[in-house]
Amino acid sequence: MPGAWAEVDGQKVTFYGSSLVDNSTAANGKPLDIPGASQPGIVTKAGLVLFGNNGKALLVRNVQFEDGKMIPAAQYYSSGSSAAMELTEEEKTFAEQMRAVWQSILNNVSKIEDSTDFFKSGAASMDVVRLVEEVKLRASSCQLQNEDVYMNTTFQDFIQMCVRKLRGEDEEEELVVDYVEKSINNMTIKMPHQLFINGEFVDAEGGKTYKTINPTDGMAICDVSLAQISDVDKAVAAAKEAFEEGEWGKMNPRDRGRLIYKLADLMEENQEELATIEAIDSGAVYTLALKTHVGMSIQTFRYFAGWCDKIHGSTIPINQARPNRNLTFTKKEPIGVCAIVIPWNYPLMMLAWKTAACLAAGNTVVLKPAQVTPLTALKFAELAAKAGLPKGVVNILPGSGALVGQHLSDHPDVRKLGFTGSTEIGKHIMKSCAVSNVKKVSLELGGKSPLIIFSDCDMDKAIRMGMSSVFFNKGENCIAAGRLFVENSIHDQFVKKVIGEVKKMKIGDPLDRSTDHGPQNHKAHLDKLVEYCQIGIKEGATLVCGGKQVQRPGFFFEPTVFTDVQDHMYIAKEESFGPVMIISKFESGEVDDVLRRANATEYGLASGVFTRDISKALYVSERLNAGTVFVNTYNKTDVASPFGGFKQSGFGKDLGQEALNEYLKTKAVTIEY
Amino acid sequence: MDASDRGRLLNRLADLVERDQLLLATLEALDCGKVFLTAYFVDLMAAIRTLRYYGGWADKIQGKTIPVDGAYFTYTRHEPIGVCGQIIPWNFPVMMFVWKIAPALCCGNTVVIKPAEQTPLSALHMAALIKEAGFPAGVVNVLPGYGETAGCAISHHMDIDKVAFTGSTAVGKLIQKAAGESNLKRVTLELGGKNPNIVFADCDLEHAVEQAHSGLFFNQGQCCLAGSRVFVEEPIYEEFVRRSVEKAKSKVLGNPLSPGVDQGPQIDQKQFDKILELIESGKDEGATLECGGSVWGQQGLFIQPTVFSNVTDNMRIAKEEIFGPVQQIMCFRSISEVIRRANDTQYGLAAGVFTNDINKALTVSSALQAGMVWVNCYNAMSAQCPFGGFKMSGNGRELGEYALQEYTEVKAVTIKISQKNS
Repeated sequence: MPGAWAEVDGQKVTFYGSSLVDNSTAANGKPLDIPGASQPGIVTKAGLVLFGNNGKALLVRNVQFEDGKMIPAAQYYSSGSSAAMELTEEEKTFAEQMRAVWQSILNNVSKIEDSTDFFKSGAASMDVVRLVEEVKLRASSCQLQNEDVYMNTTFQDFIQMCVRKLRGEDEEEELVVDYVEKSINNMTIKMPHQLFINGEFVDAEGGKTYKTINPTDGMAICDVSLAQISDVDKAVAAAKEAFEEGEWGKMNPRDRGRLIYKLADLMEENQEELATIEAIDSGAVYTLALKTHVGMSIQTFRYFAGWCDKIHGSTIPINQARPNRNLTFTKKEPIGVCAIVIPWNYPLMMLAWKTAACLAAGNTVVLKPAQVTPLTALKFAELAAKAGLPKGVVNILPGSGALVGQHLSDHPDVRKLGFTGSTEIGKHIMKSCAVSNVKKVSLELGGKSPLIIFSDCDMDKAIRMGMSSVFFNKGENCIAAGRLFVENSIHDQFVKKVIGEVKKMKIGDPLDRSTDHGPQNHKAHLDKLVEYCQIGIKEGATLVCGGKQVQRPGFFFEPTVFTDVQDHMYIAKEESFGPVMIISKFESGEVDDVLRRANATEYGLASGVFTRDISKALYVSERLNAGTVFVNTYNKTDVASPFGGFKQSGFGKDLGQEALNEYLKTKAVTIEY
Repeated sequence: MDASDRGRLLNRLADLVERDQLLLATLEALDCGKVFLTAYFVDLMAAIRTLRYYGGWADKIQGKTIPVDGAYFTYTRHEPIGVCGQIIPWNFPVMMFVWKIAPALCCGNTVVIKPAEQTPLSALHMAALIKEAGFPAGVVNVLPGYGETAGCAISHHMDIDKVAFTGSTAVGKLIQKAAGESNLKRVTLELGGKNPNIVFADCDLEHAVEQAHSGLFFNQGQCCLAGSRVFVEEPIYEEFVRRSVEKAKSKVLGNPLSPGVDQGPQIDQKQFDKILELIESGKDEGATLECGGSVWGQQGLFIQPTVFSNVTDNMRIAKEEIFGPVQQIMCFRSISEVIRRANDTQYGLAAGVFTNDINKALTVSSALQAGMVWVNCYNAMSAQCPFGGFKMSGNGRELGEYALQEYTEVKAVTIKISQKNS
């Protein structure tokens, strides 16, 4: 309702930037009489809450008075809207200094009066920067934002605003976090556990919660708010407002980049804490979490921060409409509110891969972490707020896929959904996205990635990489090599060496620095793995080692190796998502045949080949139907290299320049002249 | 070192320049005579932004894979060129320093840079910051010195693989020649300009007067971009001149460190004398001196803001780069006439056009022979936007993604494959 107004205290007050809120928002505030309204408005720290005749509450962020002055509605009482505050001698000196500054900027104005308006006197955005810096030079404790100048355009208002800041009356409300604290891993970790909506940690509707479990011992870590439908609506509304009305949508792309760089720096400062939370919540081995789960997340934000001011459109030489001429250019614009739904295998890194590109492109986001691993996402939310990302730009909703994920897919105000998870859910999401509002969708789904090992490879390296291709992160890795094809002549030797390596793997507490192999992510997943291996045995594959749960508390599963796996078997076709190596033989020299078998899958996420023969390497990498091909390496992902699948492994890329396209829309403008 | 680490070093350098912004701006004001506030808000801000911008590019300089004919596989690598010699002018010392080093370092080159002999101080402070940021020794080397010795040695050096120069067209020619005589080093040149600024009668007059004024008088007129030929359409010509004179007269000259001053001294005696000599030629050749036209004050190298009207295209002040606070205003009648006259110069650096008519704006901006065309603005620059000239204003581009091409060699790798598949 832009432009709505009411009479308050005998003057016309116009309302700007409003959103529906629930009535609890008005719990703490000071009433404001509005003639004709069913009940008084309430001035809260979030803004002015108004009540409709139907009892519903509306939050107004900014109000404008008759004289054109606009203030945050939250400061209705504190800003001295009608009566100017008295300045002390010291403040008067400051005011006179600032008058000289205004004079030097507005050199076409003969005298700076209290009523002189900065912009109506010809100031431009460059002058705003200068004014902010001039204030900083004279009063270092007075850190203005450009927005402060835009909201206080006359000299008097400007001085009043500066003085309020100098007196400390205008402090940004501090982020209130109700932490769960734990002393673990030689540190105290502080974990937010509520929903993060519009820059605040809040309870879910009805105070609903669930317990998140530490897979190392099966014990609950803490209660986490469980988002409900109305919470999703609030988060989407906040993201929409942040995109359409807020500072985020207006700022220069490089300033957006600086905020994202800052966020990366904060994540780095807190990397040990993040890695510890990841270890207890997802069972990730701490050292791996530090390097990969958290380390690569930091790199991802840094990488995409650099893209912000480099998102170029083109000018295009179209056929001219003679005798006139044409200019055609494209602009790459952010999409708006994006939803991101991510899995539990790399909770923070999956968040980073999608969110970094999404934010760099200028969107706002509502993200649902996996229900079983919400904690690093909530810690991330805290850091995003501390980095200064405006409210509503990032919203995090722990909750179930069936409720929150579904509602995001259906939501008419969400224009893009990025999903990483199973192919089955991916299909369902794509259908919902189509039916609701044809939202753009990118899907990074399951895989059954083939790894082909030729006899002319570097055997030691093939063993080492073959091991990590399967057992990295307990096999909870969407690009994990789901099938190994080993050339006949080296097969037995390969298997023998692999078994030797598996025996050396140390299973244990992920926080123990010497642990190689931690617990599976959650109980249901562990149970599935047990069943998966039983099917393998039943169908006649040879179980060489592992295949069962480790006898200790928590959800540990033994590293497992199957050989003699035939193409028709269940374990040759289906993804295990666990530490299960599936080895098949191929006849020596039969390159085309092994390619046929490797490609005979509905998945196409990743693949690998080991050979020293450059022609064979290039031939095989050309023929493999997969979004990623590793040659003489595996799992070598990098933030600058695009990542995503072919066929039923989904479409759309994470990482690299290409990921930006998933979060941009192209507009072509053609002008005739 | 990984490309992303180079990016982090550049970002760290940006943070350090931001920390020392006050100091560097003061050095610029002292050493170059630049108005302090301009140094602080324009030069230093631009330097910081440029460093951050190229910090982001370091790990995004991508080659291509190419579908060649036959059973081959081809890809390109964008490799650094090697040792880059860089020679910069005195008018924007720290900003030019950063414009040069940031893309060079971003692409992985090493640098030998010579600041102008008049203005070495900010470059030397930058050297200290580069060390503090943690760049490895030898990556950036700063050599204050003269053009005929140090500059000459750089452009002739057999181990320098590329030379980048910003300065006069005359010296630019010497540098390109030296490169040819020595090792055919790659050359980029950003040289002089005699930039047309075209004002149509249908423009927002006050805005055009203001932009044309600052487009010329900015930095004491010592800008290669200076809009030194203002073509004004006949119906508004007299009013435009009147308002321009008013603006020129209102300028406050004085110590560049004093608040409220908006024009400082010229850089040195030689430039000072040259500007006065050109002003004299304008008077002699029959242009109307509307205001200024001589020295200001009792000491220092100050020149009064000067406006000439009734300037014709054959006069020296309409053809030669003055590099001082001297504005030439010409009159034109038709769009085809003004395009012809605007392009009738050996230079082709920048140009401006002021009109509210979208057809005129696009027609003129297509027809102008210049590396940058501004519509309803002037001197609007940003780290993302390429900068450089047509014709004798130089070759190559600085800033933007385009600058990366000037600091990389493209290597095409073609591998024989056994069977073609695409």
